[in-house]
Amino acid sequence: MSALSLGFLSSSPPAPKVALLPDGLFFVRAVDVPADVARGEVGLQVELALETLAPFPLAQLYYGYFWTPGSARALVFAAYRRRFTSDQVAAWEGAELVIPAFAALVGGAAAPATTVLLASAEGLTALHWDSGRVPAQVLFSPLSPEAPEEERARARDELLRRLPSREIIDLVAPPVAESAATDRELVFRCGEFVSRLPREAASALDMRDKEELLLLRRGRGRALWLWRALLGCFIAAGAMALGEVLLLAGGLWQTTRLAQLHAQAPGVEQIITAQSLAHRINELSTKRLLPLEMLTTLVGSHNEIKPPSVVFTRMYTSGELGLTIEAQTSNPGDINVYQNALSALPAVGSVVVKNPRQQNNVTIFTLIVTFKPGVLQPMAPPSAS
Amino acid sequence: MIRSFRAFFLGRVQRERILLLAFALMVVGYWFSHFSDQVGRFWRESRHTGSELALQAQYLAARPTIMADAQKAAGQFDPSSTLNFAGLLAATEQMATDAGMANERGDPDPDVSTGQFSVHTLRFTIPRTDWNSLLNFYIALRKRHPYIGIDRFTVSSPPASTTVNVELVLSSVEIVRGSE
Repeated sequence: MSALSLGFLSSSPPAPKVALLPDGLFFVRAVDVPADVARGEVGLQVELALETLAPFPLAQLYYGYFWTPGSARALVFAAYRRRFTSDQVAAWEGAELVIPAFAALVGGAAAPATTVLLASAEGLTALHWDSGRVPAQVLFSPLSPEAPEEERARARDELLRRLPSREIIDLVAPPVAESAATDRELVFRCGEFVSRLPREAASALDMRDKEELLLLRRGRGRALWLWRALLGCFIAAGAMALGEVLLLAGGLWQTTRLAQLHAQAPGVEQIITAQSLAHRINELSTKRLLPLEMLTTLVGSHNEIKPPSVVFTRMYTSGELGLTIEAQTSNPGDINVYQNALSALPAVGSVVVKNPRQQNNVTIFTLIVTFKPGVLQPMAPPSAS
Repeated sequence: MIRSFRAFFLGRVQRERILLLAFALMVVGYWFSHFSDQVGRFWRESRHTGSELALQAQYLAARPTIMADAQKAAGQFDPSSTLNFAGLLAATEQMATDAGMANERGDPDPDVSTGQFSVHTLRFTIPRTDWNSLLNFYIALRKRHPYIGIDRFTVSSPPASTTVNVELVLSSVEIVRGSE
């Protein structure tokens, strides 16, 4: 894995990697395109023009073009592939853009009838705009690096004679790619002259093999999806960091509420106790549990209701109106008889027989009796007689 | 800085980009798991505290009414006739003795008290007593209503036995004198 640099922590992004090739290697022409041509068809128009203009088949050319929407012409440039060594071609790997040096300047905001003269080690290049955003002509005059000033001046005059200009801009340094404010454009600066190339125009300028470029763009597309996923991770992390801060604030708020809850608890507890006491006192004064009256009702004042075979082993009250009786009998048939007899009593609301089972020749069962409210009356105390 | 990092990221080879993304996904995934736990806990605690506070607010708002109701309920009793736990136990034992019972035992249940009023609860057990004694005790107990109340009444009798075992839960209201 290549060494990871932390240079990205600097405030501005690095300038894009651009390979600028000598202008003298290219032939350049402005070709007409229909004004209403769609962007996707311009490339086809350019290839048709090149097939007519160039002495070599397209497959043996590196070529690119500059066109802006609405323009009636495209500036086309091409070079024979064999003019580049394999080492030169290998050096383009990783470059975002491979173009002739003059192509870096075609995005400049030049006024009509302006000529930009770009001096380089190989010679002098003239870009001429007549009107519109696409240069009308690009001329190159080769000069040796040791050429005297007089020869350079002659070459300049010769170029300008062929390109009638109202404004002439001399550039002595090669254009340099800068980091742009947005990803939608590439910016080149050459002294005071600034050229802004929209991404789509820059892609069309790239002279590399078009199939190779397609693969590069697909790779770049995959990388962009990975970047978007990474950006999503950053956004999620940012949202969670914000959430952590909110949780911290929420924790302080919760602490305050808990303190209030604990401070109020004794007072509230007292109120709840008072309420339950009031309820209990009311029950004591208004409700009476009458267990023996219940029992008397179920057996009869003279034992006339309960069958003689039924023997109670345990009875207990359940609330104010419930009585549960555990009983046994040697005659299982008496259970139903007794249940029916109890159900017929006016004071009894319901009778349920539960869990009857045989044990040692007797049937054990549970009677759950619920009395009707307000029916039972306290029995009279036994008379002295 | 984002654009710088973007340029840095896009400048890496594909393998490094995938590794960076995988690492970021792991970190974010782990963080999200922890964070969602925290949010869930905070949400539950917050809701619980909110409902507790709302309930407290209801009780605090109803305090005058509840206290007035408690005073009104206590007003049904003659304070001089109300019994504390010792009084309840003594009166019950006396009634059991008068009814001819023996070996009875009384155990206290926790009191409920506001300071002004208290409700005392007594678990009273009478083993092996005859039916007539139980009847007499019951009638004596009933006469002390409402100052002594029967909360629960259990009678058990083994088959072929002439005696019964009795367990009662009795309660009494005590109004602290001078509190009315």
